[in-house]
Amino acid sequence: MRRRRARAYLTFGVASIRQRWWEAAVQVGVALLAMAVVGAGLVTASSVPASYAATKLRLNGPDLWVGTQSAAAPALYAEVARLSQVSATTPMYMVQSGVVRAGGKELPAAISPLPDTPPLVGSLTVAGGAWPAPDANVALLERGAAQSMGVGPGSDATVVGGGGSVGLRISAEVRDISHASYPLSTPALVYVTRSVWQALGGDAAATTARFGARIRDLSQLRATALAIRDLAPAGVPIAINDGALVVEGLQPLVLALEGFLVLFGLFGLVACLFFIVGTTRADLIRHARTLGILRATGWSLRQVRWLLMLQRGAPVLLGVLVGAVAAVALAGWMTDQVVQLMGLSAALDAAPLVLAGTGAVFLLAALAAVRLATRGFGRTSPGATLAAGYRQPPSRLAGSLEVGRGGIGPRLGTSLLLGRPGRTSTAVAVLLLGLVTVIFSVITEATLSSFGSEPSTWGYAYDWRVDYVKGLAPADAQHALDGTAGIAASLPVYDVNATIDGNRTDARFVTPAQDLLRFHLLTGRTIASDSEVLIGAGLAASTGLAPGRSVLLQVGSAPTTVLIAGVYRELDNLGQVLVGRDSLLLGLQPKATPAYFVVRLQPGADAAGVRSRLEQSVAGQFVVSPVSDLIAVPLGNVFQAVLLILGFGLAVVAGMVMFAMTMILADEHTFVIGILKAIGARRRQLAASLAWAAGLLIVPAVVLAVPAGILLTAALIAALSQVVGGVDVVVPVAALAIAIPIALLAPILGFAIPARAALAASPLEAIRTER
Amino acid sequence: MLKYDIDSEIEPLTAPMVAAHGLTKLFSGGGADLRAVSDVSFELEPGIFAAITGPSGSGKSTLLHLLGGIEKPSSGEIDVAGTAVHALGESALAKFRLMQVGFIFQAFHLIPNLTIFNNVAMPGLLAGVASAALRDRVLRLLETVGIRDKADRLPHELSGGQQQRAAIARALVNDPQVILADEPTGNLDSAAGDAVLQLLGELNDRGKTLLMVTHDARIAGWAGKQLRMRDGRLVTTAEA
Repeated sequence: MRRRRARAYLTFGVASIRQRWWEAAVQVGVALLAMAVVGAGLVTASSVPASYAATKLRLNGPDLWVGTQSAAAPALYAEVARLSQVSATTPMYMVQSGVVRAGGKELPAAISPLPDTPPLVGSLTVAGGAWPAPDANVALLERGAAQSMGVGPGSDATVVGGGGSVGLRISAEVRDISHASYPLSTPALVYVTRSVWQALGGDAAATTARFGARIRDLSQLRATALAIRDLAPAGVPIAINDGALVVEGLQPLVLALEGFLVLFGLFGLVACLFFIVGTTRADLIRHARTLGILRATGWSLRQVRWLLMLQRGAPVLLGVLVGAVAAVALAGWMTDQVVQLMGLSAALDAAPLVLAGTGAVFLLAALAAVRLATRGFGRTSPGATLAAGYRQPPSRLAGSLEVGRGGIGPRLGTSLLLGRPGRTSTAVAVLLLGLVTVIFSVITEATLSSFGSEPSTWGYAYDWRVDYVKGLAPADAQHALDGTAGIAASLPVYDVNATIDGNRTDARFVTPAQDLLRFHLLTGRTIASDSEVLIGAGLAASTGLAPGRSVLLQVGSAPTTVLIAGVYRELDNLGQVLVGRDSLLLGLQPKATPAYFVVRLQPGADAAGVRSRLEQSVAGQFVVSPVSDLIAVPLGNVFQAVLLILGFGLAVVAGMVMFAMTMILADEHTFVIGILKAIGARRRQLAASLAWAAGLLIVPAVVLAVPAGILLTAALIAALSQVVGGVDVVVPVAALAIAIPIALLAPILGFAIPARAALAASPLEAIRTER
Repeated sequence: MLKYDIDSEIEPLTAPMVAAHGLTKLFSGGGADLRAVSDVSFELEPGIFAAITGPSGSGKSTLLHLLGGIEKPSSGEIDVAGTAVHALGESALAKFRLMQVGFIFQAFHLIPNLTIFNNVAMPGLLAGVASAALRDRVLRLLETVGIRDKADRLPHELSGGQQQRAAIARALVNDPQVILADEPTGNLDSAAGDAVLQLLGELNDRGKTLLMVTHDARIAGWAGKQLRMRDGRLVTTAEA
């Protein structure tokens, strides 16, 4: 009996699909695309941190990385190793600031000695070569830096460290997850053997040091990080996980990408659910007459529902399955793009769970839509259903077709829509959400583009950042800068650890040369006196501090009260940065030394020539980095490629759904068009009324969607900015003016195609058409 | 007594009101042509009430659709009220359907989301009849067919007989010379069916030419002339 019933469902389902295969194809397409886009976004959002975790596991890496001054590092290392929460530590890596030159290029470098043998707990893996002997004259270059310089194992290189310069060979590339790799972060990491390290001046020439620690109980990660931070003596800078504290190895820019991915994924999920429910419901109502016949010929309500669920669920399931495969491929590519930059291997471990969850939600939404659309079945007898169809009574709103008001086109068009307000409002809602989705995609892409192209840190009016090696005295460095022709101005930058109202932060102090001090101010104003500071957006978001607030600033052991003048865009260190005048710092710490210098060239100066003269004047002990390289968001291209795919995919889903929705609506009017033709309506009159109906459907959706889309997107991006900091909403008027009409083509075509077919059909053909 | 008083005087015509010559309609599909109407010829004088009869599938409804301009013939000529229907283009055909014939369907085919008033007014609106005149005309027609009090109702709120009366009123609103009715009582009980036939008879009494399709011999008996069809051919023509 059950088998016979199943056969009945199957026979009917197959017949429906054979007769109107394109409807099933549209359902498959929408489910496929929605699943691919939403699934890929959510999988990528989870796979980036998962990739870090997997790589860390494979390398037996630590949970926390601690960076501090080289002089204070041994004592801190010993204290951390004694902490009960810490189960193991990596070797301590001393770091010299320097430069690596190879392949005709040069990069600022953080140079560290390589342990003689691979450590038990570490972050390093050697790729494309062997672990070198301690006395070999070789260096290992991180993969990103090697790719950037176009060199590999066997290439010659020069490494300039704090105590000298060594010519050597690159023996291998390394992947190091203790830092995000170049160009995601600078400087590039260079590891040298013990003998080379000694030639460069050894530990005495090191400026900083870092080491890793494994935590016994990962739920105590943050508490342990804070405990380690508090072990540092006052005035000694300490950075845990490069300032991200307990965000495992992920850099601010990756966090921003994460944020955008989650934003796209969740928005897409909600929008697609609505699309599936809306179109399924509208489509089912259209087939009411068939359902009436089924009921009158012995199908129970339950059987009809099962049949409909089979008819709607099967295409959605097929779309979801194929979409899941597409999502894995897309997410794999996107994850690979991102994690390669970080020196990680892509891991899509969470993909089955995320995709199963997303697919199940889509499928349940389709089935729920069937349930929703068949709610009224029980209230109508089979006889009544056969006679009049299951169609709900039309609304009296259609009474607008009164004699004496306007032309026949607008009156009939209005009446067509208002006669079925439920379906019309569903269509308007689908159009509204579709347009909002397109607007969301356009604004988010523009915001992202702006996010990648705007300065990511302060001081972007400079041409160069000049780092100097430890062996060069700051006064000599300043003298060399002052004496080099072609340099218009230069000033020292002091970079220290500080607390502001008890919150640890990076603090930068500069000479008040206002023409050189450029900040992307988000709120407030620039600094006007020694007692004023600016803070990064991340610090403002995490502490709640705002312009106009007086706070206690402590550098070393010296406290002072300062006024927050403004908040600026700073992506470095998640925006946990404070900027003040150097006179403020020198008042608190008279012996402070600059971390680096910023330089502006004279207009029209030959940059290469100036650089060459400057480097010669200090025997190569400067590392010159063009500021334009530093301020750019290094993930820009990958970032945009990944999110452009998601944004475009989401817009295409919206377009398809809008097309399907208006097609359903216009198709339903075929019957009325047939009657009107039979009683003498001319094609032109009917076309005018359909054009009015389309306009009445689309215009309100546009009018509502534009402000709603802009406001909603702005609110979502503002929420994201709370996490990442400095993400300014950009509303691209020109792009929206192009995108919205293009998006509207979908519903217009969706309306026009069946309407044109109905107008072209003979009256009887149109009347007989199943709605 | 029918209170239908809005039509202009119908001028007596010597030429036939409805004429078909060699009318053929082929439907293609499924790899074979179906000859629904085959070489049908007849003439009906003005003011006649004729019935097209025959078993199901004999082509009677198709013939009516051809005469009413809602199907195009494959070959042959149709002349209705002096108009060569077979030669009309799409736009002229629409005008013909609007002004020269009134069509009554078995399934009523009222527009479900319009009130009865608006359904009846629709042909007048399409023809551009002035609002005040149209309102008066629609209300009088509704009065005539006995559903004046249902003007503001929606079709599904009316009985089958009432819906068919509304369809008759709609067919009359532009005062056509010819009324074409396809099984007008097919969906009605006998009492409602008789009332509709009574109404049609009264229209005929007022000079309208009426052509009705039916397969029921009793109903065909209301007509003054019967055209009997079988397998797409006109087999007999009989005066009552």
